[in-house]
Amino acid sequence: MKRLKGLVVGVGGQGIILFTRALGEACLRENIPIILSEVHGMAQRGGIVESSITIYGNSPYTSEGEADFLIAFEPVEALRAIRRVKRDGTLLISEDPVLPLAVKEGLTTYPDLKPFLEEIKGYFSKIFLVPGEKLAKEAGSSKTLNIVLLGAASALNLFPVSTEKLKESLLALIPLKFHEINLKAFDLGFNYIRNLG
Amino acid sequence: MHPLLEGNNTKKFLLGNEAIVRGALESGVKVGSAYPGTPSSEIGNHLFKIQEELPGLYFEFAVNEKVAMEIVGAASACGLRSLTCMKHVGLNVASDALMTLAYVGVKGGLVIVTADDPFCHSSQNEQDNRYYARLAQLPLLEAYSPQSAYELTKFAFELSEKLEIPVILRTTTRVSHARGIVEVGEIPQEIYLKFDKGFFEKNPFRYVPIPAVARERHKILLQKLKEAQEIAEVFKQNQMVIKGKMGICASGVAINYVLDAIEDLGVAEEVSLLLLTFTHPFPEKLIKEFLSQVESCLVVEELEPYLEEGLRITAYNYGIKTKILGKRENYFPRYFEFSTFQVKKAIAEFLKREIHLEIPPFDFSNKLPPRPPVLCPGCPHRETYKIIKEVLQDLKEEENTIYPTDIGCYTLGILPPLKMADYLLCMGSSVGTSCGFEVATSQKVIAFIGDSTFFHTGLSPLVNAKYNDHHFILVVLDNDTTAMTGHQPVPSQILKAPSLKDKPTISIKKIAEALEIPCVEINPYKKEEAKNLIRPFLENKKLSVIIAKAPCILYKSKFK
Repeated sequence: MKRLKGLVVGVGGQGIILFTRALGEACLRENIPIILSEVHGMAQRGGIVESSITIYGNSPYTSEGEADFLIAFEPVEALRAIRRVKRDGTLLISEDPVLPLAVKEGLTTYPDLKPFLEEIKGYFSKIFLVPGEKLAKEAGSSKTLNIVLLGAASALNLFPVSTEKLKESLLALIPLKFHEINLKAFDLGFNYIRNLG
Repeated sequence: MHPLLEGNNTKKFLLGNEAIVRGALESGVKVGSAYPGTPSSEIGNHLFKIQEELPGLYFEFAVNEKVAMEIVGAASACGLRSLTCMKHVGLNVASDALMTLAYVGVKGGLVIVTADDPFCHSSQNEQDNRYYARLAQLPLLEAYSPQSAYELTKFAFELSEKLEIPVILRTTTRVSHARGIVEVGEIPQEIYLKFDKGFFEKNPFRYVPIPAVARERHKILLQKLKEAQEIAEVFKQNQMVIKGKMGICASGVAINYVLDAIEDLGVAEEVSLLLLTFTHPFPEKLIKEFLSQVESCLVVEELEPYLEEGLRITAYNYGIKTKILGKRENYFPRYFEFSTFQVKKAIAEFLKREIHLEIPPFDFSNKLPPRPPVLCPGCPHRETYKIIKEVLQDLKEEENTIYPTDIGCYTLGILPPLKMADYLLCMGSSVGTSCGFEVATSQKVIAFIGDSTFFHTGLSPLVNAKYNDHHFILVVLDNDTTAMTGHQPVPSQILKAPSLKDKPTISIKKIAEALEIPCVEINPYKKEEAKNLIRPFLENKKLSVIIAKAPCILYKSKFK
């Protein structure tokens, strides 16, 4: 099978680990080889979190020009990782900024993202921006942003696993009382992409 | 049930560190001890938790890696299988015990996991601990994936028990924190039903290395190392695949990068491979066989040229003319972790192939706001730093003060606007270096150390400071937990998990009082009160201890 490489990026506390674990467990259920690596040293304290994904391969690392897909939980983090995406790769980006502390303290500013997005649109043809926070809140909690993006990624067929298996694996990882809200978040993300036409 | 105990003879999706825990449990590990440190921490965390479900397992978080090493050394001398794990720099702390533990040896299998951190993702250096195996003259296994970490853990216990010496299992961040599919076996339930004690058979002429004993034990260790080498020569997970005249030798996580790169370059059918996991003692005959069948060999390994040097020595010893290429020829650097692209590029150059890789022509890195790790909102450390800063500003001494710091979340005090971290070497160094600064300068010295770090290696330098009449102010940031590595227990904690309710609380204040060092405890959230309490301490340079006591806010939230 053809190797598939990806990258999931965001900020500590956004739930990237649950996102990639759900994908990994789904691959396990479908007997598809997958390896991830999570860099989360001091991430709990507001740093960058990234997870490399390799399906049908061995390397727990996705480097420059290699990612078939980039899933960014935060737009600046998408731009920071942009060199690691293939030209024909898919970019799935939650458009809501998470302000770094340095911005909150007025030491630096958060950039206007439009010029950057315009610049990359000339190079990549598959860019999908998702109102992640709005959808997560609609599902019932802004904490479900990760699951909104999981649903959106599934709608884009980024992974070689079925939507059903992905949902099943996700539910197996979370307490019963959170099933409903997470399923709702998943479907909102999924339908948002499907409704783009 | 703890997830790592679930399922026998099945496939699980595990972190490298979890695979090690599972492998240890299947091997019947009875005693574990560790001091936490990224990227090794999950191993201790899981064993700590799992012991609640398995009466036959004992695990403790020791105050430092040396104590942990001594605990498992003694347990294995009583015939029990034991494990300790630590980050790479933790082995520096434990190395004193390790070097002689190799001489006296073990009875029950003893596995020492060292998790190295190329690129310093969460460390102060990127030392290559494979050299510890050579220094201590012990067998070394290098894991390259969660599956191999699992298998090598099981093998390590067998090897250790067979040779009666400890075995070092080395991972790196990309192995410990990789998550992959692992085919697991069975956990022997019956041995975990209750804790069967071992028995220590006295043998002082083995276990007490007075010079006469040590001399003999060193010879025995070298003999065992020879036996280990014979095993390494035929070890199945040292894989040799002969295909063409161009060869690649790799170990650790680089094995994966090599396998993917040769497939991507379409050369998988023409390159010979030597992929090593048992790398000390060096499997010389295997290497000789490989080198004599290839014309050139590229060595792919992160950090130091450990294999590369071994290959060159072997080639020299056997008069083999094969070209050996690696760090010496600048194919790879001796620093940082590798990327898949870097390995692919080096292999393409080695094989004189073209690679076509299109990298997006954007570099936004200078235009994006950085996102360094920061102290959490509401963190008590920030309050303590601010209080001390403000008092020093009042005293006009902020600029004239040196701030030795230590290892923990509070090292982030280095960042603006606090900028209160000036010198750091290792765990506990804030206290020892303060003694030196006080001798060497007339600047004021205010050192910062966390509670867990204080117990780790801060206590004995404080005794030194008192005895040798050094004068500085030590601020102990006591947040009730070992916060940075995921909230492991600490002897001074008041807020504690129900399973720890019977543990005593060891007061840092009482320790300072016993040393007759002036001491004050403050609540960093009560700013004005705290300022008034510490002002007399900060006004002079006399040795004193300020304890800022308030639980880590993330830790505290677990109890709501």
